[in-house]
Parts: sequence; C-alpha cells; structure tokens
Amino acid sequence: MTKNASSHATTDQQLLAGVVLSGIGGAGKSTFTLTVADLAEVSGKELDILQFDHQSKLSETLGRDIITLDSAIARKSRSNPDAIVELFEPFTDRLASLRDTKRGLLMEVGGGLTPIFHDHNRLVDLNEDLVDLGVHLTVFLVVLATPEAIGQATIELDRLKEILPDARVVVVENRWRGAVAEMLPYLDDAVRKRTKRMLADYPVLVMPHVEGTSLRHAERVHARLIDVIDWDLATVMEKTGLKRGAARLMRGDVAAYLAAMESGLANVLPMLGSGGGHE
Amino acid sequence: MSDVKQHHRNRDRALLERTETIEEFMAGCRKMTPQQFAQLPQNLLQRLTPDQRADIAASLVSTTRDPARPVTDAERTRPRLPPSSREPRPIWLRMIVASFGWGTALTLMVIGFFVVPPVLHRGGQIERPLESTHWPRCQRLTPKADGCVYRVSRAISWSDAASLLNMQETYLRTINHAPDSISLTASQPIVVWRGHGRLIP
Repeated sequence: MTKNASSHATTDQQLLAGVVLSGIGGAGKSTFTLTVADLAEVSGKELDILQFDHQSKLSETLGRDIITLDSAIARKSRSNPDAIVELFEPFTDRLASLRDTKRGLLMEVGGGLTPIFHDHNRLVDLNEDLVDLGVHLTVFLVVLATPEAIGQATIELDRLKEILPDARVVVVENRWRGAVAEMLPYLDDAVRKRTKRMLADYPVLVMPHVEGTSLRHAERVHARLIDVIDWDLATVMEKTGLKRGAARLMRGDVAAYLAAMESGLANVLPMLGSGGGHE
Repeated sequence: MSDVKQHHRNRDRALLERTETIEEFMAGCRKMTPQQFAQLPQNLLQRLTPDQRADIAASLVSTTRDPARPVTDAERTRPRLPPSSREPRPIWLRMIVASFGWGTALTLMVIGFFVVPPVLHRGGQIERPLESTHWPRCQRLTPKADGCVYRVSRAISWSDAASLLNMQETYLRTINHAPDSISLTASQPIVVWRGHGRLIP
C-alpha cells in the first residue's frame, strides 16, 4: 500500500473501513457482513464488500460481484511474501483510496484464514500504514457462545492487539447459541479471565437470537434481509414456501433482527445509523 | 429496495403483523386442551414470552379444573346407551367382576388400616429419599407433578419446563443444580420437587 497520503489527518467519520473475522467457521461472519451491507444501503452509504474466502454466499445474496481474494492461492503461497502482498492488494488499495473514492469497505476473512491475514498485516506493517493514512480500521470479532469459538476469539484478540494495535476492535456477540456470559462457568480458568476482560474492555455489539429458522429461510433463497421486509406476504410465501402465518412470523423476525442490529450498530458506527430517518 | 421511508414503514408493518400473528396463536392455544397444548412443537412455544406461556397455562388449568364449567351442547347431546339395551353379561364374567370388586375393597381396607394413620401423622406430606435416583418417574410435566424425576424426550428450555410445571424457573434450576445451562437436552432428567414434602436421609 502506498504511504503518500500521510497528510490526511483522519478517516472521514462517515466512511467505514472494516474487517470481519472470528477465527473459526460458522460463527455468523457472513450474516453479520450481509447485515452491515443491508444497513449501509438503507442509510445510503456506498460500501465495497470483499471476502478472503472461497464461499459464494455473499455474492449469491447480494446479487452482485464482490471482490474475492483467492484463499486457495493464499494457502499455496504462504511462504512467498510477494504473493501474499499481491493477494491483499484489492484490500490495501481500497484502504489507501478510501477518502478519494468515498466508498467504504468491509472485508470478511474466512474461518481458517485469519493466520494468513495476520501474516500479511505483519509483513507490510499495516498498522503503520493505517496511522499514516489516517484510516480508522474497525475489526469486528464475531463470537459465538461455544467454548471453542470463545477461546478462538480471545486468541484472535491477542493477535490483533499485537499486529494491529491501533485498530478499533468491536466484539460482535452472536446470540444464536445464547450469551457468551452464560458460557463463562464452562470455560477454563485462563480463557474465562480473558473472556471477561474482552467483554469488559471492548464495545460489544449483540447479534440477537432470531426465533425459529427465519434467517435461514432468507439465506436459503439467497434473499437480502431488506428485500424480505419490502416483499408483500404473497411473495414471501412464494419464495420461501412458508404458509401464511409462518411467513408473517418470518418477515416479522427479520424486521425485528434488522431493527435491533441497526440500533446496536448506530452506537459503534454512527454512519450506519437510521440513515434516511425513521419517521 | 424501495425508498428508505417506505422501507421503514414496511419494517414497522412486518413487526406489527408478527405481533398480531402471535396473539392469534395465543388465542388458539387458550382454546386447546392441556394435551393438545403439550403436543405443540417447541419452536412454536419458544416464540412466547414466559408471561405469555404462564397466561396460557393458567387458562388451560382453569378449563380442566373448574367444576362449575357449564356443560357444553356437545356433551349434553351426546347419546347415552340405556342400561336395558346393554348386552347381558355371562355368569362367569359377573362372578369374576364381583370377586375383583370384593377383593379390591378388602385390599383397600387393609391398606387404609396400615397406611393412613402414619400418613396422617406426617401431615399427608410426600416423603422421598435424599438421593433422587430412587425417586419415581414423572409421567408428564404438569402442574400436579411432584416428588418425581422426568426425562425429557427432546430438547426443551428451562423456561418451558418451568411453565409446564407451573413453577418458578429459578427455583427449578436451583433444585436441578443448573443455574446457567441454556436448555435441557434429550434424555436429561429434571428433578421435580415443590418443597412441600420431606426428604429422608
């Protein structure tokens, strides 16, 4: 990444530069990424979505090409620094041109690929670049309430503190399996201490538990959540195959989830607040 | 996506319709028998708040227990077979029935003679050993179940179990030493003890 933009004092507060990671698969990173993409659209913000993964879930749902950093190449060339730097250029170039393009960016890092992401950041000293550019990077650390996910999150947090000390970390607590605090008695002493510190020291954004399988129905038909809300009931029934009552519940669940996420995100990302104004 | 204001209106409408759907569901539940209610899938029941479940449970209990409930038209008009039209029983069957009748009465008298005085002495309390592994099994999770152990057939939340038992969830968790677990998994035992009886060491 070029460093010639050091004259910029700080990132425009209206632009999001974010990374979504968890260190394990199935924690809810894609759901969170899609939710942020939806809320950015509602608030009229332009957001480039990138993924360092091999999944097609994001592009299938967003209905557009997203920038994919080929994880297969990354795995093969992990010992080749030049290849790693080149691989992440779409990400670093966007960070460098953030203020000029006025386009935010959000990159999802696949479950087992965070070590490569950290390797890259250490290699290019991304933290120094971000400081020079005046870019405030926000790392969304998605945590599911399972001992494995919580343990991994604390490891990722340590790595982030070491490699990206100036990045802002937001803990995204996915309540699909309950609250992280409810798992504390079942954790090893060391992990429990680190988890308590994580919950106390960092802003926590709650992804609310959604009853039934309402989000799954939307996911299954590759529907954006904002579109589900705008569909009439007949369309919800037709697309999901649900009966009338279940379709009403599903659409209501999606609305409640998005409203809660919008409210929670407004606290940590003011630029994704109510946007066009909820009158 | 439609424009932002329209989207927010749609979101409000979706939330309102969800609330209405849940209210309709609750109204349907209130008309159910306890057996029908107990057979509802957990994913439906989980949509209700503990207060809503308690509200439904109260109406179910009052329906089954209220002796002043007027007889419905269906019950009133149900055809009854007159005694004279019954098939005459053979003599051997009548003898067996009679002997069973006398035998049962005699057994009850003996039980009454030996068992009732000690029970009265203890104030009618149920007694259970301290170790719940020796307790009888509960047939169902109902407001009447007490002093027994129930094995759940499928995953159920503690709040649902407490609601079916008409007990405080925190109390139920405490006696089961499960203050923090999210839900009960299949075949997990629940100790049901309302604290009215005696635990014998």
